[in-house]
Amino acid sequence: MKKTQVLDWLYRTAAFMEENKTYLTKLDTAIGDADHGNNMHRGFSNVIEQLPKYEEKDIGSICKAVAMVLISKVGGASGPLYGTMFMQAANTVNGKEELSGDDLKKFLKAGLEGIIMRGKASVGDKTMVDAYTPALAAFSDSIENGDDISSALDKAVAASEEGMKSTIPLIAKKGRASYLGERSKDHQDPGATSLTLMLTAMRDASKA
Amino acid sequence: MIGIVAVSHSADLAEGILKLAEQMGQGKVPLAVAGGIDDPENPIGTDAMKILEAIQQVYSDDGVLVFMDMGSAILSTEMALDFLDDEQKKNVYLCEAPIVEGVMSAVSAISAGLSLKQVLQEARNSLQPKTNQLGIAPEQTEKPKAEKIDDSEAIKASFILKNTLGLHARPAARLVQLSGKFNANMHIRNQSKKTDLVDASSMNNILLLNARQHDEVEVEVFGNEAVQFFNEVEAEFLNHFGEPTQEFNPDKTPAVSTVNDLNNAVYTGLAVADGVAIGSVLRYELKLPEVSDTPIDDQNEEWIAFRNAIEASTRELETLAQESTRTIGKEEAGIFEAHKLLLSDVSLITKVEKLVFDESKSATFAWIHALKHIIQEYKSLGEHNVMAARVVDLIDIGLRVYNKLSDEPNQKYDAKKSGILVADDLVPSDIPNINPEQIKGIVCKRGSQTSHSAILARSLGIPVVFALGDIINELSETDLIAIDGSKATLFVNPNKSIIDELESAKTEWEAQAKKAQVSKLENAVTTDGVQVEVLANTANIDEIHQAIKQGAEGVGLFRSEFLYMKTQSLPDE
Repeated sequence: MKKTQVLDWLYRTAAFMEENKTYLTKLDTAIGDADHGNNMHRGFSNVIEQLPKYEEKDIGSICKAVAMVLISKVGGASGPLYGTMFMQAANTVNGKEELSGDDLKKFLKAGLEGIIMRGKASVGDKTMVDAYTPALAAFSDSIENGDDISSALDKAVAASEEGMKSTIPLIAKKGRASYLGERSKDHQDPGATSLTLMLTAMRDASKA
Repeated sequence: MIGIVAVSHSADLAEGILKLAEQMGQGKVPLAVAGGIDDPENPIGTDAMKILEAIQQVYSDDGVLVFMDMGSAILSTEMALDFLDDEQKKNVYLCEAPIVEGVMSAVSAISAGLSLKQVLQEARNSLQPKTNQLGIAPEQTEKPKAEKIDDSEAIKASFILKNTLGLHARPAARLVQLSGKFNANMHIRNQSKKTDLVDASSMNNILLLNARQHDEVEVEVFGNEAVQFFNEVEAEFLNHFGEPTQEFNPDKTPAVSTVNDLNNAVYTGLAVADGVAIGSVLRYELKLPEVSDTPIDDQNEEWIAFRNAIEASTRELETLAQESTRTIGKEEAGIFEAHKLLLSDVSLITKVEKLVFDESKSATFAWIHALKHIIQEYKSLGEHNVMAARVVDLIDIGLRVYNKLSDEPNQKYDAKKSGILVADDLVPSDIPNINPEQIKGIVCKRGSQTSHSAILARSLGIPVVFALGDIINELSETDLIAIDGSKATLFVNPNKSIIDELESAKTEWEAQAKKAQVSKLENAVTTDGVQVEVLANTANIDEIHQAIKQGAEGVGLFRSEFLYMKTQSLPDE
């Protein structure tokens, strides 16, 4: 994955967040504080506004800049969560202009670890971790089996979507939704949804 | 000073908390807030960078406590910590207390001068008054048990106490201060007396070990900063708390009776201040008042009244400590620091809290009751001298707080009568309030020439004799007594010839004093005619007035920084 594709990924993510702003907020209205769509949209519009300043830098520096914007601009819990994800992931790709399958595997792994460190969530808590964990596993398996990045990302997105849907019957254990207890059942988790959108954007960028 | 940061999704909420807290802390406690995000359309949210700025704004090495509303406020705060350097990060504590209650408790605890650990504890308990008020069953709010020590991690050591007075108030205060300084805990026991291990963050716990010279004391230190904590504790023990180490010598019996009959008898003590006085016995009694157990309307009101009294007393002690550091030295002023710690002693405060909330007692009743309980514990240790001094300390702080709570301040002696003050011990903090017009002289059963009380008493300009021993107990209000300060003698019901003798000595002394009064305003000229300028070292306006009265012609040393010591605010340009 070239640096231009990484940048493309970020632009596509921003576009997704804009398109799905209402959808994400609707999901969050059911079980949260009705701000996830707005928050993600605000965060990523700020990211692409800042991006031209960093385009010349290496992938690690770009991702760090993204992290800083997100932690300051998102406003909700997803700010520090995605911020930490980008920050931790960025540390694995310092100085790089292109990512191999293995690099991307490490990048994604560090990102998940960042989210878990910050949010202390596990699989089954009805969070972005429910989508991210199977997605990373699928991606890693696929790369280890010798697939290229874009087919590995195909599998990751499929696993992420499945993980995202698996959050529907769950009772939330983290975040604002956890205040609802039983009533958080039968709703899809907004965080798992935005995470899936982000991976989808990455897959699309890898094919472009 | 410990700083506070409030983090909220809402800028309005954060500002509201700030206003409430500023009112409570009277602008003394460093406060900063991080509320909302910079998006006018959707201003609700948290911003890790704003939080970071707020922390840096109030940061000092004393520590910062951060209170957060929920959810992303917590995550963003943790994120903000990632941008602090490790040294600073270690001094920032995220407190789980509810944000409004937590901030208010912390502000009042910080203004009362409590240690970081104690402030955290206060904040964590901040929901208690509300829980009690609403009558929520206690098991739902039970405090988590103190962490158990993992034996393998604790640092253990034993020390033999070398200093003369053992673990008395000052060393105990030092240990409590250290335990507030580090993120670590210490348990301590007196091995020689086979006591249980107790938590060393309470001064009473330490004092009740009754650890004396040559006793062996065992400590167990554990927690993140156990090593640093232990090193300082060890240094204190090895340096015997910077105190003298001569053999402990229980009360000498200084009073010598020359005649068997009480009348006409003369007793000798220690000379503290010169002069002659003849007068009736004016008893000075240091004891806690009897407080009746009156029903109360509102537990919270009682608790708040109590906290306010503690806070006001703490501030008084701070001023006293500052003033006496200046006038008589840091060492002696240490007693006020010790008193301050006693006021924040967890075991004492918890007792009061329990009495107020669990048994609906009035603040005054609870305070006096809790104190008497602790005093009883000291007395049950049985040994006289050092422990008696601790009881004096406890009564002193007891009365200080009591007088803030009660409409009828406790009088230690009859302020309407004139005479010679007769006391077992004088509390240092009482001496500045003694009116020499009313009190002709002072005699005490105990005391030393170098004590804090003696130094202060000398400034009164009346004769003072200490360490007269048991005769003090024998004196009654009907006795006439006379003292000669320079000879350290006390006469009980002296006969005519002694009175005449003393009267003439008194007249002479007064004449001398008068002469000195007059001549002090004259120029100071040596016998060979050289005029010497008389200058006074002063620190404030009062002292300048005093200096002029005493014949000073000018100012020698003027410490301009002392001018600001008494004000709460910074000087303007």
